[in-house]
Amino acid sequence: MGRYVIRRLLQFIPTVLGTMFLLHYLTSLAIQFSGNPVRALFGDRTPPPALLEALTERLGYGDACLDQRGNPCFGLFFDRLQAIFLHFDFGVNLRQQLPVTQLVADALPFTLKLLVIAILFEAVIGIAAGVWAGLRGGSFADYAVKISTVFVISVPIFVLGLVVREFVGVKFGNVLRAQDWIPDVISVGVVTPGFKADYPFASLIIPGMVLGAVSLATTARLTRTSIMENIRADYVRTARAKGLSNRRVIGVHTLRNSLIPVITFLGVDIGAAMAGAVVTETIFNVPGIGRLVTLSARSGEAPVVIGVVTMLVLVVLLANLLVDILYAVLDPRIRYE
Amino acid sequence: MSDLTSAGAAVGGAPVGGDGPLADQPAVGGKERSASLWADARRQLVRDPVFMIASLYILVVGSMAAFPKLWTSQDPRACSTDRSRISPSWDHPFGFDILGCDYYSHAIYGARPSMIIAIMATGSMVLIGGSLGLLAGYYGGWVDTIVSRVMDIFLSLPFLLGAIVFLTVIKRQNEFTIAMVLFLLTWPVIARIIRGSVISSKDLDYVHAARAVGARNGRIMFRHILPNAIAPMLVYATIVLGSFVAAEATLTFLGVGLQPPAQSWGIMISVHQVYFLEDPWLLLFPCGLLVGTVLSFILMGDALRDALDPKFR
Repeated sequence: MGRYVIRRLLQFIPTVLGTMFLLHYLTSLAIQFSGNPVRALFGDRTPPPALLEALTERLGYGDACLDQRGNPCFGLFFDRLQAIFLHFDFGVNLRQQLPVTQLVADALPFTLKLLVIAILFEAVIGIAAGVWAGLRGGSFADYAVKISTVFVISVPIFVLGLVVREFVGVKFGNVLRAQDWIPDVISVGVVTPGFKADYPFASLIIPGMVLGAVSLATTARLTRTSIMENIRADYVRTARAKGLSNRRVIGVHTLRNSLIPVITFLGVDIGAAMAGAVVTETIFNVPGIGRLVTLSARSGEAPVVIGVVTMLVLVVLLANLLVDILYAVLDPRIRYE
Repeated sequence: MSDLTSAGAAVGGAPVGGDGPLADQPAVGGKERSASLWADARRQLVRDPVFMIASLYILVVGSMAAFPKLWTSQDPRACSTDRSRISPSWDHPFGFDILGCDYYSHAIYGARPSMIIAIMATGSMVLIGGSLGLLAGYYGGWVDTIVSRVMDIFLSLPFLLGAIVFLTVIKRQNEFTIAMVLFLLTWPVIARIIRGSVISSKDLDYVHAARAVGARNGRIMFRHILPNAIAPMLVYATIVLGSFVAAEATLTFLGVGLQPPAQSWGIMISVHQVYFLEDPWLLLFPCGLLVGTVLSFILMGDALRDALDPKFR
C-alpha cells in the first residue's frame, strides 16, 4: 500500500510539470503574439518608456524570449519553477500587485464551500434516489428516476443556473421577501439571485445545489445499476437466509459493495465540479477561484493563470489518489502491491 | 487508415446511415459472428422507438445546419429596432429579438455553428485519439508510457477551466479554434477507451492466428483488432457529440466562445438572459432546441450501447 502511494505520488511529477509547461507555453505564445500585457494597465495613455520598462521587469514580463514568436521560453519556465517550488512564490497579479497565493487564499473558501455543498447534495440525494429506484426495478419510482436523470444530464449547467436564478432567486424570492414572518436568513440569504457577503454560507446553498444537480443524475444512475446488480448476488441471498433484517442486508451488505463505482465517480467529479464552478460562480456572482481564473486569463496575467490552474490540477490529482485508496478500504478484495 | 476514416465519417455523418460501412468491415475480415453483431444491432435499433425519435430530431437539426434555406426564407440579419421583442405570431413563430431581427430564422441559422463544432471536434478526437490509443495499446512499452503520460497531462486539466484558459489566450474565437480546443482537452478519453479494448483483445486467439499466417502489424491492427474495439468508441462518440453542442453554448455564454455578430444558440441565450422574466420565450426557444439536441445525442448513445453490448440480449 505504502509503495503504491509513493509510486502514484512520483507519477504526479511529470504530469504536473507537463501541465505547467503547457500553460506556460500557451501564455507565453499569447504575450509573444499580442504584446506586453503591462501596457493594458495604462489604458489608452502612452506610458513613459522608462516606467513601462521598470514595471515590466518588476512584474516578470521582461524576459527577452517573450519578444520572439514561437520561442518556448525554457529559461523563463525554469525560473518560474524555481520560484514556485523553492520559494513558494507564484508571482503577482497586474492590477493590485497582490501575490497570487493571497488571491487564491481569498477566493478559495467560497469555491470550497460551493464544492462541499455540491458534492454533499449530489451524494445524499443521488444515492438515496438510486437506492430507491434500484430496489424497486421496473416500478414507477424506477422510471421516474430514469427519466428525470436523463433529462437533467441533457440540460447544460448554465441553462439550469439561469432558470434557477430567475425563477427561484428572483420570482420566488420576491414572494418570500414580501412576507414578514420569514426570517431574513431564508428570504434574503438562501433564496437569492446572487452571492451576498452578509450571508457567506446561506447564499451559497442554491448555487451549490445547481452545481451538484448536473452530476446528481449520473450518481443516481450509477447507484441504481450497481444496486440492481448486487441485489441478486449470492452473498445477499446468504445474508437474507441467515435471517438478518432487511435494513442490515441493504444498508450494510449491499450498499457497501454497490457504492464502489459511485465513490469513483464522486472522486473524479471533484475535478469536473471545479470546472463547473466557473459557470456557477459567473451566474451567481460568487468571488471564487473560477472567476479569478476567467478574469486573469482575460487580462493576460500569465502568473495568475499558471499558479491557480496548477494548484487546481494538484487538487484533482490528489482527489483521484484518495479515491483509489478509498477503494481498498471499501473493498478488501482490492490490494495494491 | 481506411477503417478509422470511415469511423470518423460514420460518427460525423447521419447516424442511422453511418452503420452501413461499419457493418461491412468485419465481413471483409472474414468473421461471421461480428458481422451479425452489427446486423443485430441495426435490427434492434430500427425497432427502438426512442432511438428512432432521437435520430429523427438530429436529422431535423442536421438539415437546419446544412440547408437553413429549407426551413426559413427570412434573413436573420434583416433587423429593425422598432420591432424589438415583439411576441411570437403566425408569420414570425418565434417573434423578434432585442435588435428586432426575426428570431425563428436566427434559431435555424444558429444550428450550424453548434453542429460544425461538434462534428469537427468529435471527428478529430476519434481519428487522432483513436489512433494514439490504438498505438499505445498495441505496442505497449515506451510508446504506451509516453502516450499515457501525455494523456494524464490533458486529463488533469478540468475540462471547462482548460477551455476557458485556452480560448482566452488564443483570442481568435471562431468555429475552428473552439473545435480544436474541445478536441485537445478530450482526446485522451477516446484514446483511453480504445487502448483498454485493444489491450484486452490483442492476446486473443484470432490475433495470434492472424500473426501465425504472417499478417503484418498494420493489418492486424486495422483489420482484426480495431473492428472489435470500435463499438465502445462509437457509443462514446455519439454521446460526446451532444456534450460538445452543450459545451459550445456554455463557452459562448461565458463570453469566450462565438461572438455576437455570429448566429448560435449560445449567443441567443446569453444576449437575452436579462429579459427572462418579461419575455421568457426569448430564452425558451433556444434553450429548448439546445436541450433537445443534447438529449437526442445522449439517448442515441444509450440505445447504441444497449444494441452493441451482447450482454443485454
